Amino acid sequence: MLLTRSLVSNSRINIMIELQNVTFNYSAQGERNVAPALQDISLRIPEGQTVAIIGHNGSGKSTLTKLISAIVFPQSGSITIDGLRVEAGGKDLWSIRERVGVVFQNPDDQLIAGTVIDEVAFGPENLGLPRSEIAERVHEAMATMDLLDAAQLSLSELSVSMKQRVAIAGVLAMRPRYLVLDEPTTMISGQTVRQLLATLHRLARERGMAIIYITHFMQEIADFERVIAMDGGHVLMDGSPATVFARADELRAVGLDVPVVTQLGHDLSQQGWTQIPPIVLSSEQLVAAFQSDQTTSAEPGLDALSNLPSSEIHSEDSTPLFDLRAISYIHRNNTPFAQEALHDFTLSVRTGEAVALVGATGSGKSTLIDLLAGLIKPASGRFYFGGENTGVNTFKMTRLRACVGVVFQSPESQIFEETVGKDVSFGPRQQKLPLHESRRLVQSSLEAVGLPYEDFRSRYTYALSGGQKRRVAIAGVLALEPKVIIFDEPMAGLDPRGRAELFALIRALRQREGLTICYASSSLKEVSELVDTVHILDKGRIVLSGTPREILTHAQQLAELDIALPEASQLALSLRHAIPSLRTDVLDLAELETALLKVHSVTL
Amino acid sequence: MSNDSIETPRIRPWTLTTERIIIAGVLAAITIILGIVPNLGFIPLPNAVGNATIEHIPTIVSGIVAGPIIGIISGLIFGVLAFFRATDPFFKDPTVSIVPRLFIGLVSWAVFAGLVRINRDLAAAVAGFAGAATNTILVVSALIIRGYFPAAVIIPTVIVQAIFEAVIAAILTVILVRIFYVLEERVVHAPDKKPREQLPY
Amino acid sequence: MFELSRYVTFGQYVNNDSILARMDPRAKLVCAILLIVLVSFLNTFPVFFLCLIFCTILHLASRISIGYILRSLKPFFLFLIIAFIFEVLFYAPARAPHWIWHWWFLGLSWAGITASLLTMIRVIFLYYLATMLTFTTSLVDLTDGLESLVSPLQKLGIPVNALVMVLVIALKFVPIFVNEVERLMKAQAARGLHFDQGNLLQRISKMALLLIPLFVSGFQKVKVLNVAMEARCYGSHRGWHRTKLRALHYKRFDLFALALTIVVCILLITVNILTA
Repeated sequence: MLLTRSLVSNSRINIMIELQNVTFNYSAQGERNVAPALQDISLRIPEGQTVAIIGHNGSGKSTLTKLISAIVFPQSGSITIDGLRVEAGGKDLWSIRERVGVVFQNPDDQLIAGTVIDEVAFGPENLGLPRSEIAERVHEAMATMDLLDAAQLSLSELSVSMKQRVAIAGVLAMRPRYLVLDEPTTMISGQTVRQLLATLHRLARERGMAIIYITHFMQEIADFERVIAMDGGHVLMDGSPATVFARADELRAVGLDVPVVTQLGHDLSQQGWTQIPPIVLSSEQLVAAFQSDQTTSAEPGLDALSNLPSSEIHSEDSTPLFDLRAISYIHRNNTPFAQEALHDFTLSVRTGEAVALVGATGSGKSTLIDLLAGLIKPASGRFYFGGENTGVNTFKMTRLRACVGVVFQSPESQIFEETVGKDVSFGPRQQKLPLHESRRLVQSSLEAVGLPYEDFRSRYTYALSGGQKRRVAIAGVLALEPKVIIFDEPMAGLDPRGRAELFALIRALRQREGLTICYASSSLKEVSELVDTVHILDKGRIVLSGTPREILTHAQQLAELDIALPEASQLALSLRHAIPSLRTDVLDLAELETALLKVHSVTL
Repeated sequence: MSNDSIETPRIRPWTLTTERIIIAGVLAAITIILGIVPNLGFIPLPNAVGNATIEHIPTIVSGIVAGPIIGIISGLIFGVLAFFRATDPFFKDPTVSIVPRLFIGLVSWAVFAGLVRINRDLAAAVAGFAGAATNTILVVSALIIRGYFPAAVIIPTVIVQAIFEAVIAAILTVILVRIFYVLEERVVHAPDKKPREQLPY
Repeated sequence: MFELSRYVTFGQYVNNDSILARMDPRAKLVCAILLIVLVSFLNTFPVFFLCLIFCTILHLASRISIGYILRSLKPFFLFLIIAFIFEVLFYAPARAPHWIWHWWFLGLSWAGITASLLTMIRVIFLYYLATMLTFTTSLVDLTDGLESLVSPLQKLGIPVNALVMVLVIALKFVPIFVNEVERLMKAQAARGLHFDQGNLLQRISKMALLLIPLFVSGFQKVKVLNVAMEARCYGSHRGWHRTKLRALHYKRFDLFALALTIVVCILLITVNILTA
C-alpha cells in the first residue's frame, strides 16, 4: 500500500519527458560505418511546452523522436515518460506509446485504413476501448482537424495536405500528452503549413499537450517556446527562438540558418534602423516597427518596373523547340471519372531556354510534362516539336522521347535497376551503344551530378539517400544526352542542404550549350534564379507569363492561387500592411533591403 | 521495429509479428496489382493454352520471408481473389480456386527452411520451383477430381506451361529473396559479376 | 497510354440501397456461402430450374439491371462455350456410354452432352451468386462481416484478426502501387524502353523491370509502416486485443433472409435427391 502511494506521488512529480545521458547507435551491421546517432543526451520536456527541434539529416533528431515514442531503445542512459521507463520489452511500453503520439513525414507511410473515420479510429481501437469511448474520441479528433465532413471519404482520393490532417487526427484520437511531429511540412507548403502550425499551438494552449516539432525550415519555428538545435548526435543549442537565432554564425557553421525575417531585421538594425528590435522573429514584429516609425511614407512611392532592366526581348526568328497550339487533354477519357486537365493550352519554348511551369496541384502541370515528354498525346490541338507536327502518323514518338529527358517527381519510381551503374546505363543500353561508350556516358553523367564514379557505380540503389537518389535519377537522364531536361518538382521532400546542392546542379546544367530546361514546381521559391521565363498555370491554362521579376509583381494574385513565393517576396508582401508602396518583385534579401531603404528614404 | 530486427535472434516460424502481418498485406497488394494491371501478371506464351502466370509469386515469397502462417494467409487471399475475379468458369469453383492455393506458401516455406543452411540462393530457387509446382499440381488435380477434365487431356495440355511457370518462379524468387536480405542487412555495394570491360557501366 | 488507374475497377459494389445492399454483411455472407457450397454439388435439371426461380427473385430484390450483369458475364460466356465443347468431346465415364460418334479418345454422346450441360449450368449459377455478393456488398462491409463471422475462430488460435489486418493493409497499398507502376512505366518509356516489342525473353526482362522495383518498394514500406503501426499501439503479442468502432446489427429482414436461405437449401437438397 505504502509502495503504491509512493509510486503515484512519484509519477505526479515527473509529468515530463526526461532523458538522462542517452546514447543510441544504429546496428553496425552492413557496410555503413556511422557515428552514434545520439551521444550522451540529457533533456527535459514538460507538459504543455512547444519545442522545435532543428538539425540536418543525420543530426540525430529523427532518432530522438523514435526514442521518446518507445520505438527504439537507448543502449545507455535512461528515458522516462511521466515516470515510465522506456526499455525493450518493458511492461509500460504500450502506456508510453499511448502518451506519445507521433506524426511522420509522409502521410502515405502511416495511414492504414481505407476511409477517414476508420483511420482515425485505428489507434483507439488498438487501445481496446469501449465503442462509445472510441466514437467520442474519433468525433473530437475529427472536429479538431476539421474533418467531420470528410469522415466517409476514401483516403486514396485525398490530397497530401488532407492526408496529413487525417494522420494528425489519428494520433489525437489517442489523446496523447506529447505530440511529436517528424518533419511534417516536407510534403506540404504555403497556406497549409500556416494552418498546421496554428492548430498545433492551439492544441498546446487549450489541452496542455506538449508539441515536439522537428523541422528543417527555420521560418516555421519562431512561435515556439523553445528551440533545440542538434548536430552530430549532440544538443548544440537549447533556448528560446530569440536566444538561438542570436547565434546566427554558429547555426550557419553547422549548415543551419536563421529565418529570412530575422536576417532582414538584423541587417536593417545594423544600418541604423533603431526602431527594429535586435532579434526579429515574425513579419508582424517588423510591421509593428515600421508602423511606429512615422517617417515611412504611406503613399505609393514607386512605379514597379520602370527603373529595373526589363526582360530581354528575344528574337522570334528561330523555330521554337516546343510549340503547343490550342491543346486539350482529358484524363480517364470515356470513364465516369473523366476530367479535363489541359484546356485550349498554348505554349512555346525556344532551344536553350530555361522555363518554369508553376501551378498548384491539379493545375495541369503533370499532364503538360507527360505531353512534352511524348508520353501522352493531346486530345485535340497541335503539338510541334522542332517544327515537326507530332500528330502526323509518320512522326515517331520515340524520337521525341530520345531528345527529352524527364526527372520525375519521386526518385523512387525513376530508379528501377538494382545498382546505380545499371540504372544510369539503362538509356545507353536501350540505344544499344557500344560498352565503352556506355561506360563513358555513365562516368561523365555520374561525375556531372557530383557522385564519384568508382564508389557509386556498384552501389545498390536501395541504399541511397533521398538526395542521392535524385542525383542518380538526373544522371540516368544525362546519360541519354538529351536536348531537353524536364524537372518535375525536383526539390520536393529534400532538406535544405539537399535543396542547395540540387539548386547548384541545375544552375550548372543551365550553362550547358543548347540544353533546354523545363522546371515544374508548385512554388516560386527556387525558380527565380534558375529560369528565364515563368508560366503560371491554373485550371489547365496559362494565366501569367513573364520573367521571374515580372511574375513577382503579381504577388497577391499568386498567393491566391496558393503558389508559395520566394521568402523575400513573401516577406515584402506581408510588410505591405505597413508600407503599401513596397514592391514585391524582389528576388533576394539584398533587393528587399534596397527596396525598403528606398521607400524609407523617400520621406527622409 | 526498424533497427533491432537484425539484432534479435530469428523469430520462430509459427509466430505472428506485426512486421509479418504487414509483409503479407504488402504482398497481397502486389498480388492484386498483378491481377488488375494489364500485361503485368502474365507472360504470353506461344502455345495453345495461352499465358504463363506469375500471380503466385508473391505468395511464394511471403511463405519464404514471413513463415508458414503468413504463407497460408497469402494463399487464402490469392485464392479468394482468383475466385472472385475468375472469368474462367472452373475457377468459380472454390475447391479449384481457393483450396489448392493454401498450400503454395506452406510448401515454399518448408522447402526454403529445409535447404537454407546449404545455400540461400539454392533454397530460394527450389522453393520457388516447388511453390509454383504445388500451384499447378493441386489446381490440375482439383480440376480432375471435380470432373471438369479427364487427366489424359489436361496433363499434356498444361505440362509445358507448368514447367515454364516453375522455372520463372524459381528465377524471380531467387532475385526477390536476395533483395529482401540485401535490404534487411543494409548492404551498400553490389559485387561486380563480370569483368569491367564487359559491363555497360 | 499510361493511365493505369482506369483499369482499376476493383470491387464492383453498386450502391443502390436495395434490400440486399442494406442487409447485414454477416447474414449476407452466410447466405452466399451456404448457397455457393450447396450449388457446387447440385446435378439434376429440375433442381437447377428451382435455382433459376430462386435467383430470379434474388435478382428482383437486388434492383440491379440485368444488362449490367450480362455485360460483366460477356467474357465468361466465350470461355463457357469452349469449355462445353471440350467437356463433351473428352467425356469419358467409367462405363462406355452410347456413342453417337467416336474417334480415339474423342467422342460425342448424349450422356456426355447432358453431363457437360449440367456442369455449365452449375458454373453459371456459381458465377451469378459470387457476382451478386460483390455487386451488393462494399469491400469495407465484406471485410467487417468476415471478421465478425470468423472471430470465434480466434479463440481456437486461428489468427483471424491478423488475416483481416492483412486485408486492410493490402487495400491500402493497392492505389499506392498502381500509382508507382504507372510512374515506373512512364520513367522507362521516357528513357527509351519500348513496351510492346521483343521476343519472349525480352518481354520477361521488361516485366521484371516493373515487378522487381514493386517488390523493393513493398519491402521498404514494410519497415516504415511497422514503426507507424507500433507507434499507434498496434500489437501482435499474446493477450492483446483490439475493439472496433464499427458495429453490425441484425435486422428483422436479415433473420428472414437466413431462414429463407435455409429453407431453400433444404428444398434444393430434397429435389436433388429425388430427381437424381
